[in-house]
This record gives sequence, C-alpha cells and structure tokens, in this order.
Amino acid sequence: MIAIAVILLLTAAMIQGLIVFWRNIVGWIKKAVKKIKEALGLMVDGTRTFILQTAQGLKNRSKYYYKNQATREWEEVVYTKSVEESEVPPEILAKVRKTMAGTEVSTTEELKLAIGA
Amino acid sequence: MPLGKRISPSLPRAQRNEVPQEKRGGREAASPEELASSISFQTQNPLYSFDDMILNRDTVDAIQDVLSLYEKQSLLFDRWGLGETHKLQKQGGINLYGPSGTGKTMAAHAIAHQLGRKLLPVSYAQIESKYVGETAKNLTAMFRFARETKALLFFDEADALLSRRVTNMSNSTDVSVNQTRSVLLLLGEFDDLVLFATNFLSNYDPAFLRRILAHIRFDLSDEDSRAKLWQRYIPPQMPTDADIPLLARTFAGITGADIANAVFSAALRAARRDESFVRHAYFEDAIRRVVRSREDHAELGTLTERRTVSEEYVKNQLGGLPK
Repeated sequence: MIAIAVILLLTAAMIQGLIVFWRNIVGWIKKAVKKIKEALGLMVDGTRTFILQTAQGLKNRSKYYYKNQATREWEEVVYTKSVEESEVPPEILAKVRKTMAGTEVSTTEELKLAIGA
Repeated sequence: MPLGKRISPSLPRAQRNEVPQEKRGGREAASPEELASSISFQTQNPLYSFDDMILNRDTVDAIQDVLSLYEKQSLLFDRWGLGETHKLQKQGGINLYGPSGTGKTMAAHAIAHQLGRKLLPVSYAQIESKYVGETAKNLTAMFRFARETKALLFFDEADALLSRRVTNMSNSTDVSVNQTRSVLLLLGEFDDLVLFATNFLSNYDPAFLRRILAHIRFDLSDEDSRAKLWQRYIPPQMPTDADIPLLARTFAGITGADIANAVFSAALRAARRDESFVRHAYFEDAIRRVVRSREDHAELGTLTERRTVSEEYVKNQLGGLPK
C-alpha cells in the first residue's frame, strides 16, 4: 500500500516537473513575443525552441521569426537561457546526451505536444 | 500561445498619433532665447580613456581609423586634397553598435578623452516633447550648445530617437518621423563629430544610417580579451591557482562587468572559508552564478542574435511561410 502511494507521489512529481518545464518555456516565449512587439512594433510569425549543451551548462534557446515591415525583410531573433538539468524531461535530456556539445536539439515538436496535451 | 500563430501587436509608437489635438498646427514657436533659458544642458569630463578599456583588436582599429580623421584633418583634407573630393566626409557621426555590456558608452568617453573634448550626453527626457515642433526646437538648441561649448554630442541608445520611419506613413505630424528628420537636418549642417550608440543597428532609420561616417561594431570579448580582463580584475597580490587561459577559453559570452563580479565573489568565498588562496574552482562557480543571475534578471535570457534572414530560411525553419 505504502509502495503504491510512493509510486503515485513520484509519478505526480515527475508529471508536475514536466509541466513546469514546458510551462516555463511557454511563459518565456510569451515574454519574448511581447518584448519584440513593444520594442520593435513587429508581429512574430513563428517560433522554434531548442536545447543544447554548452561549457556553461544546459541552455534553452528560442528563435522568433517576423517580417520587418520597414525593410520588407525577414528577421530572426534568438534568445538563450540557462536551464537546470533536473528541470529537463528525461527523453529530451537523452537526446542532448547523444548530440555533440554546442549542437541545437529541437524541442519544438515536443513543446507542441505538451501544449496540446 | 500556439506555435507559429500570428500575434497582432498594438500600433507601434511610430504609427500612433501622440500629438494632443489642441496643440496641432497653432502653437507658436519659442524663440531660441526662450529655449536656451528653458533647457539646461550639461557637459561632462570624460570618465574613461582607452587605457581603461579592453576591447577586441578589430574594434580598436576601427575606432582609431575614424579618429585619425579628426586628429589629422589638416593632413587629410588640405595636404592630401580630400577636402576637394570628400567634402561631406568632414561632417558626420560615429555610430557604436553591439550588445549591451560591450563598452559602447565607455568608448564614447574614451573618444572624447582622446580628442581632448568634453562630452554632452543627450538626455531624451529633456529633448522629447509631445508637442508638435518642440522636440525639433530642443534638438536645435542642443546642437547649438554643443557648437558653442565644443563638446562632443553623444546620443546613447540612439535608436530610441532615430527609429525607422514606418512605411505607408500618412500622418505628417508623427513624432518619431519628425525627430529623425530634425536630427538628419541638424547633422547635415553640423561641422563636427557626433557620437551615437545602439544595441540594435537595424532599428535605425535607413536615411540616418546613410549619413553616418562610420559604424563600429562592439562584440562581447573574444578569448584574448577575456584573458586580459581576468588578468586585470584578479589583483596581483591575491594568492590564487586560477588558470586564466582556461577561464577565458571556457566562459564565452560574458562582459567585463561579469568577470569583475566573479572575481569579487570568488574572493569572498575563499575569505569566508579562511583559505590561504582563492581556488580556480571558485572563479568557475562564481562566473556561472553571475551569468545565471544576469539571465534570470533579464527574464528573457541573453539576446544571442538578431539578423536578417532569407524567406527560404524562414520556410525551412517553420515548415512553410505563415499565412
């Protein structure tokens, strides 16, 4: 009985951890979109997210695409932010581990699934 | 926010009509005397020289090349004849651009120091007015003050004043358009150096970009500069086993201020633990903490890049163009 309760608690904590990871990324994207809107007066058309291993630890990276109405050219803005290893979902961490340091691993599809879930 | 979804912003500042209805068209201009008495501009002595700075080699070269224009005017324009072929090159400005924390403001002070001039930092709070025509008058008064005092005008975060004009603009009273136009006109008539600094070169009005004599890029320190910064901020009398080349190699994307903070923090830890020297590991821990706290403070993390990309690239990234 106790074992089942512990397993349930651990599962709940793990799910909660995953939710927090994706929720943080969504919050981050919203802030960046708002910043681009306020600072540049431009509409973001699309976003992609990545994770990568660097000498300074794990980093989340988000990229924003928009058409600059003044120049009529597309622009890309990139933000990078540290993330604790303990916050990263295990399957994402496994992907990073298999990739060379400094290489971006896309998390866009996983984020879409997490948001849709 | 669903990924790829288009987000509609509120109108950018440049498109809003910020002119109070009752002030349009009918307000009398203040005389130059009134302006001079209503605004008090202040020059300041340069706070830094190039001896105080550690910049990447390319940046130093670019600055010194442009400064030779002002230091060797007689040679260039009289003896070598550039006065005949490059008349407009005598006027104009230097635009310092690059990420925050890369030394643009310090460099403006150092340029003034090298030229033996005072600096006149532009205060936008003083200059900008919501009333039609007032900003232009304030700018005129400021340029005149700079000419009279022979101080170097310095527009820090200049894109705030010189932002892009929006295409299809129909409102001739738009505040940012008028500001940009005023500065362009004043620059054209001003026979001296003016300094500008911005984090985002692409925010500038293209017409303004064309009038600038030199755009000088400031980057975060390269490995060589980072080694010099670590060397500078670790006092020679501090006992330590710090491997400076390793620190410089490992931690990129950091500013001089980050390194200064990390050295201080590492020393505090060693002192608290009553250790006889400051361990290399403490510097590594400290710089990681500094970077992390800066990123947390920034909320958005570090703005790593902003660049123009091709439509094809966007298609590839987003799996097609958004409708």
